[in-house]
Amino acid sequence: MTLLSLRDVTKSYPVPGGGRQEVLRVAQFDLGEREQVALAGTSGSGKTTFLNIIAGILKPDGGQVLLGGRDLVGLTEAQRDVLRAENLGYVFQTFHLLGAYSALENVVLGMAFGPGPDPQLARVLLERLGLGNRLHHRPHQLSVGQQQRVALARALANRPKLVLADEPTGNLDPESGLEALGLIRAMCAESGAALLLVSHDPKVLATFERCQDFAELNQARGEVPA
Amino acid sequence: MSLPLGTMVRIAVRSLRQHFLSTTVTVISAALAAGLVMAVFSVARQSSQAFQGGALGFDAVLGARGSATQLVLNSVFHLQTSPGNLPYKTYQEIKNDPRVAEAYPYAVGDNYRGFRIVGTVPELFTEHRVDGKPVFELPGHGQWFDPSRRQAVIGSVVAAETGLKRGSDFHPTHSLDEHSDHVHDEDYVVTGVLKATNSPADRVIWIPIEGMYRMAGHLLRGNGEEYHAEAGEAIPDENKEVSAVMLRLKSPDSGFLLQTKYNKEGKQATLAWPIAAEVQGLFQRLSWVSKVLVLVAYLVVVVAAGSLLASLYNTMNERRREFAILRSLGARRKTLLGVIVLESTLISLAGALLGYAICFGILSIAAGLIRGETGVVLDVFAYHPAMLWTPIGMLVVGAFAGLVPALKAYSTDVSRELSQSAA
Repeated sequence: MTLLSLRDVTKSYPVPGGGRQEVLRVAQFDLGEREQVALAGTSGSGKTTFLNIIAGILKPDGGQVLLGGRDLVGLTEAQRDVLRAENLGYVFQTFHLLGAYSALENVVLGMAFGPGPDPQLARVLLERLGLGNRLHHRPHQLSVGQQQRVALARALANRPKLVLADEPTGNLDPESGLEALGLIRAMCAESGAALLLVSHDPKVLATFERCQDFAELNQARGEVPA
Repeated sequence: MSLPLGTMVRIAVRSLRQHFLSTTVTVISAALAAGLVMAVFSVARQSSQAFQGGALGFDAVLGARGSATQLVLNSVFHLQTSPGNLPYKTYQEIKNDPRVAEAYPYAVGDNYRGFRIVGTVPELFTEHRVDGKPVFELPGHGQWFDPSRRQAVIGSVVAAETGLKRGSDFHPTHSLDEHSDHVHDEDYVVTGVLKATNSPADRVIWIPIEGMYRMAGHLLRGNGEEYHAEAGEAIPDENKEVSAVMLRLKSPDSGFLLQTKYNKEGKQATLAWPIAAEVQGLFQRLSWVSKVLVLVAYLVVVVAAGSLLASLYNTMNERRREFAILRSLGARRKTLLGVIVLESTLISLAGALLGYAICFGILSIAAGLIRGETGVVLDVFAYHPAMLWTPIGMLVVGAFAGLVPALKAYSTDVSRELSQSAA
């Protein structure tokens, strides 16, 4: 069953001189429930814009973005915020943990915007990810790999239907990267969440049964007249 | 889903703790503003009330021809110089006037360590009452002075500041200048310390009026010619003088009639009546001081609000990544706006609460100074409506000051901030 469906989605930004720079043009993209898909893309190819549109952070210029049957394009920003908090987990390349909060607090705070804070669940998640003795450590007191796992716990804490991962192994060494990737995939599978992962690392991409070249998916035309 | 207030408060408090130094400085600035506003209003009202009640139950004061204000300042507040003297017969005349209930003469001209010495009659202490209660009381084993001996009763402030107590003796200093080199040879013994009246009378040393007449170097000009009292000789009434006569009248009509008699028909004396109106007039003339203080207090509030705004605004740039992360987790724009407004409100709240301490601190200092200078006692913890509306006003001002930085947080471009901080 389809969880995510994009049709004729475009996104452009104004450029000096009156024209517009089209950065995204995706005719069709589908992702099934519990499916795990990798997108291969280089830096600046528009893949982060693509993920941000799926996350409801950005609104496309046109097209249709159906998540669980609801079209994000027709929702207000506040409605997209709620949808994001309740249905999506986002793992960033640089993790984007809040420095003033402990590992546990980072996860609990993420829950506050969704179904509500559940410190016990957050604790269990972090323990599952091997951080049982790092619950009260601040991000700067954790290794990069540990920060990555806190970010993963935060992304999974609201029991999302879809996890978006933007270069999640980009800041890790190859061995740790593959280990983290395995963890992400296993945790998503376990929680029943679909995974849409973007990476330019061939070793990462090679582990996915379904891997799409983002350059083929994105048919953006570059600078276009206003 | 809207974020529960408790979670918003936790986020706001965490952020304030993270910026501890700027938060502390801003809280102190808000506290100074709140404390100053509350203290200024409280001091203004209390001092006005205290000074207007400082007349100790007297309705009028009769003195030498001149300014009624100077007469009141000199005889009621024991400040400034005496406008001159009246012949003793004027005192006798008004004392026997059927419209006058009580009349007590004052004679001034000496001091002890800056505290004014007032010569008067013992009836001032034994007979003068307000609402049936004696105005002056002597606690412990104190005794009123014997009008024929060199004895004194002293006000509570005099006792506290000079160390004089019952049994102590002192030599008066000539004139009202405490630094005068002319110290009288006469030795006076303190027979009692008056219970505090919370009035300027607490700063007075009271001696028999006869003693004032007989002090070496004092010349009397009651009949226009100089007279020097000799020991063992009675002083003729025609030579005596008084500086002022404190009066309690039988009715308000008496005041009108006596005012006409002395101020319009006569040319030698001035009747200051009613004393409360004179004091009120004095306060009205000095009201600009109070207005300036209030203006300064309000300016401090404006500066505090500006400081609060700048303090929060300056943290906005470094916090944009934090806002973007919160937004990516599902926080709404209005949640961020609420968190920042909450931060500024919490700073104001802390400032307002600390403001009470500042206010009571200022009032304690002011009360000490005012008591030391005038004898008037301010109640540091007396309620004034400003103590309610100032903290509320500070919260409103704080919330508004937080709006500008909050709008900056509100407009955070999530996508750009996340990609920039990732780069």
